[in-house]
Amino acid sequence: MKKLFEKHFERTWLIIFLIMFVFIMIPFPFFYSETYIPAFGGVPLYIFGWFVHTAITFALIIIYYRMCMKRKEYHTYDEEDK
Amino acid sequence: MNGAAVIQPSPIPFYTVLVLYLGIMAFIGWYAGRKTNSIGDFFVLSGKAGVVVSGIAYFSTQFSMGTFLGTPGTIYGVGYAGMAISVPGAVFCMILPALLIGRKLITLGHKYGFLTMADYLTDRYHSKNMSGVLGVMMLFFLVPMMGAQIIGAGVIVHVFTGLPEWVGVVGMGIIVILYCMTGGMKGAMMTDVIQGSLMIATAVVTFIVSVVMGGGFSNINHTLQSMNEAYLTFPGANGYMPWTYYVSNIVLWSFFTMGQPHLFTKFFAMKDHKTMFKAILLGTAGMFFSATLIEWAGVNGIASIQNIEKADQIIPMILQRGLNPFLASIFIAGIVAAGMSTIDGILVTTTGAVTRDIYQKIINKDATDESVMKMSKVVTVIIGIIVICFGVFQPGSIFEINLFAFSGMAIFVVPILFGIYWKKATAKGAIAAVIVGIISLLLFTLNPSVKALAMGFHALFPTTIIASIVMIVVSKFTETPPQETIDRHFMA
Repeated sequence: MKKLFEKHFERTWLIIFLIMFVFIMIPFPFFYSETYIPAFGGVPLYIFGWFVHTAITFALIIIYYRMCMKRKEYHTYDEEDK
Repeated sequence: MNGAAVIQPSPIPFYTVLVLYLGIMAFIGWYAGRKTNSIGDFFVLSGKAGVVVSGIAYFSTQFSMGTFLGTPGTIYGVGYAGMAISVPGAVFCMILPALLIGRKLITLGHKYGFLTMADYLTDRYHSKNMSGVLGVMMLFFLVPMMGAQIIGAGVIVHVFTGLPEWVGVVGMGIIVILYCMTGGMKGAMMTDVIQGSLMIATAVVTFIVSVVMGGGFSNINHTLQSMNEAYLTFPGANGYMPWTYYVSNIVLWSFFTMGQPHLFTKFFAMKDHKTMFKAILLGTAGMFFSATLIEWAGVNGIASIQNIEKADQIIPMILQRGLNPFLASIFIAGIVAAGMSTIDGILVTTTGAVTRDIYQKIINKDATDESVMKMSKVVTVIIGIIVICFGVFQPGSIFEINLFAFSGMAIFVVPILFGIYWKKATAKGAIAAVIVGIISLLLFTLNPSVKALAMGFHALFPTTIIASIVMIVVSKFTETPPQETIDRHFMA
């Protein structure tokens, strides 16, 4: 796994985000429902499904950002700014 | 329930707040103008934009009157399923463009001084004709996109003052022209920060007001269920959101934002990769919260306000009914901000298309940067006047016009992605793909029998596939750009 991130860093992350992107399009009842499934306060369940998916994707963006910042190629223009 | 909704004008608080707000914006435009020294500053802030400016400017440029008036207006007829327009895909709207094109654009911007989408396409395809094609397309599609924003200003002025909509259209048009003319991108990005913050505040307050007006979540959802259970399920009360359209919306407002020149340009303005990532986090969070709350308010409005004149009025009416006139006017300024920040970003980009991409690169190659700067101000006024005329005549609803214009520019995803990832992509292939793409988009949008072939997906889906096939076929039979150009782009 570690090797995958080291050797194909960009491609691995692109695939991870594309999986998340396609995942939310799958009509699971917690993303897309033609029947009413009430959750908190009577709000349809799929609304909370979207929120959870967004939170996970956002956390992945943070992890991706941290990993990028450990790589040399993402600091090419830092000196220029100083 | 409040029954039939009647507009209750409150012009004095509205004018007071609006004059104060616009005065502040005009001052910023003037101040930025004094500090704008170079052509690079005018168009992309010379690659100096920091985190807050980049993040908020990206989201406030993307979110518009369409998001704050048009989308909740559309959702008002659909119910919760309508929130699928922006909410499930919002988290991808910056990370996907950043992953696919962002890093490379920042590098190219720093290395070769690219300022606009035309700079990139012209250099990558080694053809000045790319500039001309892009410039013409931008005029054709971005003028309606700006028009949709000032139509929103007309709706707000009508709800809050009772005056005809054209008064708001003309007033907003004049203000935007004035500060874009003076400050260029610096003025636009500085005002974007204030406008973006106000937009988030407006979304939060409108949502809270709508929940209180409806008597809490349980009460609102019980009311919706008794009115029509379809408000709580897919495909929505009017059948607007079947699964195919749900998927279309997720892809449309994230992946296809790469083709929008005013958003593409923002990557050239970012000073480094760290800034890009922080801007992504800030911009994504801003977009998700604003879209969710304002669209949810549109759903809550179904339970509290019925029989409105025009669905686009739902958000101004929630604010007007739930708050005192001064507070309502302050937050309505947040919606005016959404429209203004979109227009200013697009107006500066469109001006760049005419002056730099068409005039300086094709018509008068000897034109100096100084003369182009002077000309930019005149062009801004002319485009602004055309936009005002468009807003006065109103050829469709805010959401429809916005969607049409967005889709037209989204076709540029094809030459951009092929340009970045395929060495053999040629200028003739790119131009053919764009022209065939436009024809296909118009056919899939306007002709019902062709539209049926898309099987419920948005017209951009089949259009992108067709344009990509054209790109590959034509490129195979035409000459690739010189090796030197390919090296420059693929070594970066």
